[in-house]
Amino acid sequence: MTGGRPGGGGVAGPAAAGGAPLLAIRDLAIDFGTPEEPQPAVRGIDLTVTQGSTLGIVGESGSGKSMSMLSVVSLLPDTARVSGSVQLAGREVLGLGPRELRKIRGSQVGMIFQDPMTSLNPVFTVGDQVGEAIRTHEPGMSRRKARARAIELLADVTIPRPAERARSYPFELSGGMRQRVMIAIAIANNPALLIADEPTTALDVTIQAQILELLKRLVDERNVGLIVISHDLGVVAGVVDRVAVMYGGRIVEDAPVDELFAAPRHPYTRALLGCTPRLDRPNASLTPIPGTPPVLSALHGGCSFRARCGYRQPRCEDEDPALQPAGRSQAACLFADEIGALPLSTAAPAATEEAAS
Amino acid sequence: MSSPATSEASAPPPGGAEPLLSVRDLVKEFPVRHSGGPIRGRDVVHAVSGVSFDLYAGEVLSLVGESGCGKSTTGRCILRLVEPTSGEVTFRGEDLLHKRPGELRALRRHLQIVFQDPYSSLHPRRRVRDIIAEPMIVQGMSNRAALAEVPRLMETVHLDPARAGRYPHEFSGGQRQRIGIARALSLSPEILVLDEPVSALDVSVQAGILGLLEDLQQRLQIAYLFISHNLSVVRHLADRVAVMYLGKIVEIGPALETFADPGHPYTQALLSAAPIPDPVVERGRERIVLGGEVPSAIEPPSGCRFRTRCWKAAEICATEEPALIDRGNGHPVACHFA
Amino acid sequence: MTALDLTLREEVARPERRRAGRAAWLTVPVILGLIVFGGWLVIALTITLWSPYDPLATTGLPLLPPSAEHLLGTDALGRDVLARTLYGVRASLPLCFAVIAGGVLIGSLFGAVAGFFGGWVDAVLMRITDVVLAFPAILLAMVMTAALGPGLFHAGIAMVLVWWPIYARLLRAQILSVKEQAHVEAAVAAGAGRWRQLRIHILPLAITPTLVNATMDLGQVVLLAAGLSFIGLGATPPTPEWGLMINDGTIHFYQWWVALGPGLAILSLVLAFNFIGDGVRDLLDVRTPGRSA
Repeated sequence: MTGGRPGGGGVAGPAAAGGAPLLAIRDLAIDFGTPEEPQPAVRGIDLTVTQGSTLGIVGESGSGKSMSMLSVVSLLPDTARVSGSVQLAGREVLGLGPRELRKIRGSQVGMIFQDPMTSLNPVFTVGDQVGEAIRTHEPGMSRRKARARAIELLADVTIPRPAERARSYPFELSGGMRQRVMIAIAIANNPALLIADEPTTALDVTIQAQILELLKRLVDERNVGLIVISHDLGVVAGVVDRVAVMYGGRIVEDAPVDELFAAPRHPYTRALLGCTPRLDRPNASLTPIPGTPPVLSALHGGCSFRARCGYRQPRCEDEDPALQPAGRSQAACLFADEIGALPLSTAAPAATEEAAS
Repeated sequence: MSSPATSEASAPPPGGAEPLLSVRDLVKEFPVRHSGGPIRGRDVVHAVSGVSFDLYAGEVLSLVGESGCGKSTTGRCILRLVEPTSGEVTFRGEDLLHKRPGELRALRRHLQIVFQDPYSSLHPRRRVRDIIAEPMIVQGMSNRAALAEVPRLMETVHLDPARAGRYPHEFSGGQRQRIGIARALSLSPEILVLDEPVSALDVSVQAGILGLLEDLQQRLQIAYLFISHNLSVVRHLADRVAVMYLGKIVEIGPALETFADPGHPYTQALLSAAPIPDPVVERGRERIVLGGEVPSAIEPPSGCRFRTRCWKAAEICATEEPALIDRGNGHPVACHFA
Repeated sequence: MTALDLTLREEVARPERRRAGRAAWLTVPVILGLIVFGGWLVIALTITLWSPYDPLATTGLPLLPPSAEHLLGTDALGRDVLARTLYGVRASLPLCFAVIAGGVLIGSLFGAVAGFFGGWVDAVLMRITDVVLAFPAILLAMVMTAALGPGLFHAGIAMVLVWWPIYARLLRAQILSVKEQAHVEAAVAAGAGRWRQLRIHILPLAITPTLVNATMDLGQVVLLAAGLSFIGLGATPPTPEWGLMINDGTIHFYQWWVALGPGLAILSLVLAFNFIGDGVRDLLDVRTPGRSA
């Protein structure tokens, strides 16, 4: 894995020496309130990403997916109280001082944010911004060299006429272009891990296709680890090897992508698949998920999904299911095996609570 | 530029009835303001450049396209929320564009709109019952009569009428969208323009709203002009579809046919780019990845506007704009090589 | 949208908000401000009934330091400073409310018409506003008093003329942004006429910054009025008015108590208005839900 690869910049940074995974998250919890009035956003998750693999984190608003990834680069708001462990290439990241964090951000982990319009500084040219990213981690490099390298990177992300484009300001570029600039900044220092938070949500579908192809190519060429956070199951299906589904601040299912889509073992995953319209199955009926996502601070005991679950049983009121493994998948449902065995077209039996939405 | 072929652009559903709404050569141009500097004369954004179609009673016609294609502007022009630069919009034979305010108001009850953003489309300081009753009051109903209709309307959209006295911020996004739908239905319109009605909602909530819209459409036989960029949603709901690119309709036809066998390269690219939640299918797909970016609407390409990104482009595409006519696909396509 | 918005975004049906204890906007400063303002209001309304001394009469030897009889001493004419201080609020309070009311009404009218109708109406009205805005307050006050004669009333008129342009701009800016919102479009789609759009759908939302600003400006008017009187353009002697009293105080610098009363009075009232203004802002923000994400 650490052999040089032709083209595509250098080999990804501090390689997974001694087999440590690129990213290992254990029991991560993030809370925004006070000890008296907790406002949890993430309630204990475990994740592992190895070099060259791609992980998709899927969830809706309020599931905690973005928060959990922000903790990897410690970009959470000051009011956040974080507990648990986040290790990058074997090294604990939580609790590091600002200087150490600055060394990690950009060089070990590259982040691509959702909205390129607000994530780029409007008063600097894109060439300057990519150059700045480079010189942050190589302070000795001359401006000229950094600019040359920036142009190389812009070409790498398939921006046409990169030398000219480097002199443009963000507002002169389209959404797709800006996102490519973001990606260029993210890969500028050859990080071993890329985290893309809803990278294509703000983009048109044809541009989305371009950006996703770009990300896939970069992963292949540079052998980096990639995490894609999305609410769109379709985006995730086409890009990643493995999917983690988040609900109510927890991971409720974690499985290889084929298995997750073919035989989901958690009722929420099933329900999500059942309510997503598919271009190739226009006549499939969509079953909405009744109710609304939970208010995390109000969750006590039992399964967090039970109020909206069509397979709810009395046991679900009291037992909060841990992730039940089965081969390479795991699902946080007491009946995961049975759920997984059901054909996808079967509808959920139980009538659920007041469909308030 | 009205072509005889525009009658083809609106192949009527069986029955051959008269269209409820007729749009002919709709044009909307926005002047561009250059910040600082003198007003540099004639720069305009060609948001809509000659759009024609018919909408029949009880059908769902969808306008699809990506951002900047002019679909939202078209919807707004029809309701005169934005004044078109030129063109014709006829509702049951009445010319909507040249009505005076008084006459226009009376006609407005037949055409209503549901907006994209459930957060800004409801007045934040008014109670839900007042929001829903507003159109009826504006149209001359007494306050009391209008408020009496509210519980029924709320039930139609599956909201609890007991909550009519609450404020919008006490509801979730999906519920707010239902309030918006109830408001739009209050005048019993025959045409409903839906401008990306589910795009701002979570997927689990979308399905509920789509189900509601489907149900309402069938029960009340309202004609929908469904504007969206999400092909999967459109395919699920639409009878006919019009694909727009840079201010023009490039293909229009029955949804089933158009999606199954698209004639225009842009439609093909759109369909190819739409993600499908199935990794096996995704791996097996042949992806058409369009090069380049969407050209500027201020200086659209000559001839066929799609030619700068089209793999079939040839010389004729730059010199001659392809007309929207049936070229053997069974429905109109604006491409020389369809 | 920041990631924080994505997570904590309002996608949940909120249960009824029950506030435990007092409302969020009633912070300590706000309560303090309300108490102080309330106190001054009561004084203004009732002082004639219980004032220990007549503010205009000589009730002691001149320039006596504070004592048990005259808690803040006496001024150069032997008048009780405390009584004059307390009476002073009867000049300042009605004045500041009148000026703000006038300024807000005139300014809002300009701003609403300009913002809503746009076009050349907007251009003309805004140019007029710009011209008036360019006048320094003091200069205008001087011109007014020269033309109309001295006195607090004329100073008040001058202040209204100086104040309204700010409110014109404020309301215009708000209207420009509110009128683009979707719920206004919805009203138009239903057939609402312009007046209805403005009255029901635009103004109630656009007026918020004006109200906050107006509350804070009450204090500014008190200051300006005192300032004008201080330089001789406002109240005339023997009216007990704080600015005038401070002027006296500067003449008799070593008799520090003469200026102390009015000085503290101005300070307390202006602070009170500022605090209340903060509270008003929080109050109106709390009831206005999050804007479109």
